[in-house]
Amino acid sequence: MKKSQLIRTLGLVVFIISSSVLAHGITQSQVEQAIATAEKLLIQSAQVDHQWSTAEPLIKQAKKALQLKQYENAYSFAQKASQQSTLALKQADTEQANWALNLPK
Amino acid sequence: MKKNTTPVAFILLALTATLLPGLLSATEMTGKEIAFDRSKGNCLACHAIEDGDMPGNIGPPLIVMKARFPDRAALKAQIWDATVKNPISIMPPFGKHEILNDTEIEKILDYLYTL
Amino acid sequence: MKIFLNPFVFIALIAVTVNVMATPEEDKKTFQQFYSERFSNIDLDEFSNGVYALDKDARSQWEAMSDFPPYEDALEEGEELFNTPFENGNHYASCFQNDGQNIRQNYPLFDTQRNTVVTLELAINECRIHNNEQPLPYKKGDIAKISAYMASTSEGSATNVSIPDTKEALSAYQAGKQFFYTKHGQLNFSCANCHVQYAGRKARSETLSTALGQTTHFPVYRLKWEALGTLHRRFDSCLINIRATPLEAQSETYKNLEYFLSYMSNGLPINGPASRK
Ligand code: HEC
Ligand code: HEC
Repeated sequence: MKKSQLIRTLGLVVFIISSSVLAHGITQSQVEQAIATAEKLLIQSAQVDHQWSTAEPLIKQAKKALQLKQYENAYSFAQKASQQSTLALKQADTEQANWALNLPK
Repeated sequence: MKKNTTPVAFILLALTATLLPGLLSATEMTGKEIAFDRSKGNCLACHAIEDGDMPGNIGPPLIVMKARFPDRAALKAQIWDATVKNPISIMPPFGKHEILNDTEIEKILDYLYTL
Repeated sequence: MKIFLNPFVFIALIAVTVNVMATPEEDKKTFQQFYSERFSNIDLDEFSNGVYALDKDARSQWEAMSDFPPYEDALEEGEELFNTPFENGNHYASCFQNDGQNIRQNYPLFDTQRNTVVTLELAINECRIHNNEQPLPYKKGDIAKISAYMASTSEGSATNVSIPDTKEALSAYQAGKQFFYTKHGQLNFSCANCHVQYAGRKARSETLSTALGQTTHFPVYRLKWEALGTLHRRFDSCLINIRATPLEAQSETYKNLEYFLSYMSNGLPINGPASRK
């Protein structure tokens, strides 16, 4: 085996290991927790009449990926959903003062 | 040195392939397409842009951008979060609210500087 | 806190503090004046025609259609439903003042017993429940037809929404007002962004109507729906467009929003049902 071939093979091994490590880096229970957080934030945003329509579909996608045991994907969808609802809550907060700037003068 | 780059490239490839599948659809779109697409930038809803069909007239026409926005960061800031400058701006905060990702916004910027 | 360091925001906040505290009557005056100044060539009553008060091209198409209005059949059905007795022999008329004729302009009203806003659709369903009938779904179908018929008996009557001088009524009004001016959804729009600040401008090819007059002609037959829909259904459409999750029809928030919007149109003639794109 030539040296460059060896390096290439090694690279391939690293590739396979690293991608499988990444795929198993997130556990099922971590995904479930991330989904639970996303759902909690979704409800919180609804309670202040600020729910975004972008959040719930992401939770659905997370659940679907979880069923397929695609934990990486599931986790990333759940996090995106949480982030959208967090931004919605931030919007609700900012607007507590900001809304009045809209009033016609 | 050169010999070591191969595995590094593989790892990078592995990382990209694993972490960024969601970005693939956007990476295939040009800046102009992202700006025009109704579910992406939808800039035409409010701005007249060269080549754009049936633009709205809510915001100013996007013309001679290089002369008017010599500072790329200032242009990016307007698209990232227009409410910093004008707290009741009708323009959606594309970056802040994650309507578009950074790659998409950079592509739009490149496109705007061709106008 | 950063927001208060911005001098623009600071000055603007001082300037609007007055309006935040204004009475409903003062609000209404400022609101109507805002539009009559921006559109000085348009009579106040004309705003009851929504976008067709502003967009001449769209108006001629719309007028051509109104020879055979698409809601004609639904309106007739609404009259029939209204006059059909319940199982117990009572009629809808028994639940309303003046037998339900020419009263649309007074809705929504504020019930000081229950301390809540009562929209016409809510009153229709409460009438049914009172007479041992199942309530109707709120956004479309029979309730929109009955509401359309009742609106038609108020044709030309001036919107006449009143706010009793109680803490609860005022806070319902205030909540509706705040919702209207508050940014919602991922796209970060307030109702006022489109229907106040940029009323008369075009989003793509669609002219944005004034919020003034938006309540006078509901329920509306939308070509897009191919049916009549209630005001709360229309609220849904606008919220969906800005990527906000719509609220429940007849939720407190929607009712308060309707209360505020209708009050802003006080004095404008009722002209429902109407057709829209
Ligand atoms: C809902 C309407 C709306 C949309 C959609 C919108 N804008 Fe704007 N934009 C405005 C308004 C209004 C202004 C004027 C400044 C302000 O109020 O923020 C503006 C200002 C700008 C400016 C500064 C222009 C100048 O001449 O000073 C740029 C650049 C801009 N927008 C780019 C974009 C791009 C790129 C998109 C799409 C990704 C976009 N806008 C989408 C409404 C909009
Ligand atoms: C992005 C701009 C936009 C925003 C934000 C928006 N709307 Fe609209 N709305 C429209 C457009 C476009 C139409 C259809 C044309 C018209 O009548 O203005 C419409 C129509 C309506 C109508 C029907 C008007 C009629 O004559 O039948 C009502 C009522 C309404 N909007 C209420 C609201 C309320 C309440 C909000 C806030 C929750 C809101 N809109 C937010 C764009 C907007």
